[in-house]
Amino acid sequence: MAGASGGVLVTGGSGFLGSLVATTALRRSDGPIVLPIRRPEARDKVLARIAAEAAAEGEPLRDADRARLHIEPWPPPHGLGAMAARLARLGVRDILHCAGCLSYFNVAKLLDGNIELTRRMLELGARLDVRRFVFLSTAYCSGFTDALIPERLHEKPGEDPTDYTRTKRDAEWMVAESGLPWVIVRPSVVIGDSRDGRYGGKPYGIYQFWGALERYMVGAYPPVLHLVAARAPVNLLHQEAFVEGFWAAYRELPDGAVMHLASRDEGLPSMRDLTMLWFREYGGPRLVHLYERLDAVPMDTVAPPLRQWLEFTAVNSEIASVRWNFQRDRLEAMRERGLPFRDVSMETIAVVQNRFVRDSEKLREFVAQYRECGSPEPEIVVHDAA
Amino acid sequence: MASAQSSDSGPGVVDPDERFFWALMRRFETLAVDRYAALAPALLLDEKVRFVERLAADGADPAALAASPLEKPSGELLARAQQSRDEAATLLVQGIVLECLGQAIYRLVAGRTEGVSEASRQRAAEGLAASAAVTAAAGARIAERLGTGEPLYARFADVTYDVVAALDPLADPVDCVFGRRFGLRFADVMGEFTADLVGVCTGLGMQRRKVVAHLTGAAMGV
Repeated sequence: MAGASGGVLVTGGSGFLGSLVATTALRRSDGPIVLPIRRPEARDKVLARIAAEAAAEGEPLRDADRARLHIEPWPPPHGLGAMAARLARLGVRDILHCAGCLSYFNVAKLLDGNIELTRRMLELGARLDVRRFVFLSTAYCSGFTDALIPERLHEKPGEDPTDYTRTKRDAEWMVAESGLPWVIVRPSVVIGDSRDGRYGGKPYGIYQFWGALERYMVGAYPPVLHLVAARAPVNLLHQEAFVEGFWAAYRELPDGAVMHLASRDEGLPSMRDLTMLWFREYGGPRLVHLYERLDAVPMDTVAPPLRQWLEFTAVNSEIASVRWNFQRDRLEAMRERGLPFRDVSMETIAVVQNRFVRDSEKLREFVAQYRECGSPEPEIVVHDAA
Repeated sequence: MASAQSSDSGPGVVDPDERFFWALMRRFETLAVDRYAALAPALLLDEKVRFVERLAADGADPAALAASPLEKPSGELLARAQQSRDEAATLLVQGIVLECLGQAIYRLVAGRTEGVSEASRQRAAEGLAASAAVTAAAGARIAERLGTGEPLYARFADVTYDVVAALDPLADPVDCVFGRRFGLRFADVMGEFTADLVGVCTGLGMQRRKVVAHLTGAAMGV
């Protein structure tokens, strides 16, 4: 694959990771880039997003780049043949399937977005006789497990954190059994760029904690705060590291390879580290109780906004309370060969966190209030599980 | 105008800010009663009808509402609620979600010890009782008509997403209009609302974490 050229079809171009991949495809390849989107009226938005990302990377889109972009509506199920013919004329040789549904438990949407859509893309790939089909999955599709999570298809998965992880795993099997030359990329939780903190995704992962804080807690901290903040390392991944890893997987891995995209464990923060970072940077209430799990929190004593925050972050707190031990052999091999890849550290998390606060008027006012009136170093009481 | 008249439910509401609040609630309650009459008669309880009649008797000025920052987001929420076109959707959207929202609001107002008149506290207590009665009736009807557990969750998630998603744009207007005056803040309402709604849903056999994840996704736009 190294040095290969030709057109590329990127799905998910209107979403966070898909748009990063599309931008990278524009910057690092020379053929047509086709982006099918569900809502044709979103065309300008998709283009603007890619242009913004390219500009942020210091390479603003040129007219020639724009001319290579083909933003098209998704074909109806019976329209795959016509689309395949059009893609063949454009010289599309590879499919980078980044679209998906991230709903945690809406099975109907997940089946549509992760299973049916993948089935159609595989069919399209077969019609095009593609050179490569890259499937963007998730590192968490192993389900909960204490063991090393291997870079291969999961035959005996653990209990799933959500239906999302189950449908991603099912889709991986469809890809693997399609007969196409495939590669599967499994990122952990993608956060903003380590250099300037920019982030274009929805409020998942750490952003759900900050976003819920912005929505429900900025009236005032209660005098005593109860938080779930476990000690397990949280597998975060900067967006530029995702881009480097994804592109390298696409161009360098052999057919039939699965690759985890995750930062090295050494620098990974825990939720407890992240919580303390917040208070160190922005102050807090007088007293903070930290728990390993939500069911340890005395919920009947907490104020409604805090209860709301705890509830809304519960699934992510649960996922973050578990040690996820992802095999990273393929990524490490690439890094040894010179792949630039910045691991997450407390220093880079601070960049991302500060950007989030800087971009939020509500949070700016909130933290200013606590810097003035609150305790900069709250007393911390830790309630570890027995 | 019967705004300051006594009724069998106590004195009318005279404070202009409070009358504004009740004008807003009247819009939601009137829609509820209309939807129940048209699509879910099992929820058209006398208690609810009487409560709406009392709100109508307060005769609040709709022009003030039209000029407020609450007009647009509340109108959007009402529009989405009106998209329930059959009994099942009405039971879930109106009978469960919006009635739980009403209960959260009424409970907070009824519990205020300062900044709210006795008339409004009493009115809120009536609204809370009426809403709780409707939710109980909705729960029974849902179990009978739609079943419980996982299949119900799938339907619940499908028909309530847009309505829950319409709550977030109310945050700043609610805090701005009612926060300073009544101490009624969006975050408090959402905290009460989520607790109530999750309780009702788990009572119908839905998994707690799934319900919470659904509400999170809808409310936070994920």
